[in-house]
Amino acid sequence: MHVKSTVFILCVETNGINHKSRPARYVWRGGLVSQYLFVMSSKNFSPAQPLGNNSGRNCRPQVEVIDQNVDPEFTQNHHQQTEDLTALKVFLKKNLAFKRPNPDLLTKIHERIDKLDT
Amino acid sequence: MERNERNRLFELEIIDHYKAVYNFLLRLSGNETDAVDLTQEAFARAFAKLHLYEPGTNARAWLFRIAHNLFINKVRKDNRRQEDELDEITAYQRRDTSHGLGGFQDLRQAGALDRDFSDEVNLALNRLPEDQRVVLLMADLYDFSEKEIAETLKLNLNTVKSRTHRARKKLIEMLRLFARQEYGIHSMR
Repeated sequence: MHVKSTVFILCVETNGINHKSRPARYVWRGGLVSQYLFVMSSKNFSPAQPLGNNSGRNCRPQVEVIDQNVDPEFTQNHHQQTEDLTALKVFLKKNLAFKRPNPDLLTKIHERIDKLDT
Repeated sequence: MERNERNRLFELEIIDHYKAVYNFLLRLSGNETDAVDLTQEAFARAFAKLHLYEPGTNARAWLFRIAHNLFINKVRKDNRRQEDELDEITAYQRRDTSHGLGGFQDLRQAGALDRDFSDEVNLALNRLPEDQRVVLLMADLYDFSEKEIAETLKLNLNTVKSRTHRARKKLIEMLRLFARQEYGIHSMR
């Protein structure tokens, strides 16, 4: 028997901590899944729970995104954040450029290892 | 592990990373002499502990862990303090909800980032606490994922998230200050 229930999640707020008692894949972080429409299906007549029904191996719900009613403000902030982070990484790589070590460093390393090896 | 096999594995998978390890230690210590000494020490230790390395896995991450541990030992000798895990989790829970890159966005918009900031970035990096500096370097300079950093440094994932967040925020705050002092660039925030 296959039971389906539809859950419309307006906004899920968590503190972002993955509690040990709850598998990480059932923890939804605030902002990441706001206003998504889910279909949750579970077996053995177990009602689907918003945070996952993990009472047994056979009745773990499968979460499938069937529609995304994405909050435009959230998308914009998320996009801006990703863009800023990428720019920060590029900026740091440019300003912390790779430095070539002194050519004798490799020789020194091998000398140290030779001492250990003998 | 036999001697020949050990030498072969070391040459094949480990030694190639010496430049990356040197650069990592250079940024971490902010000091070339320390970076050279610690790099030699890191590879000597890697060779001695090669039986603990699983061939074909992430050799760079393994070496970074060794390098970082050596650096930490050096820092501890210098009597610097480390924040403990509990404080980090508390700090993460209390963190502000902004992503912390707002100040960086302002600098970008003000055109500050087109200028050479290498001295300032080095200075700012060295002013970060060591535990924040290492995660920032691994995340933003060497593109390790937060999960990889957590595994490499044997830290809780939330600790890594917290430290990365705070490190970026602090670094950007310092850069904004430099931009104002050096170039007269005022950002909005």
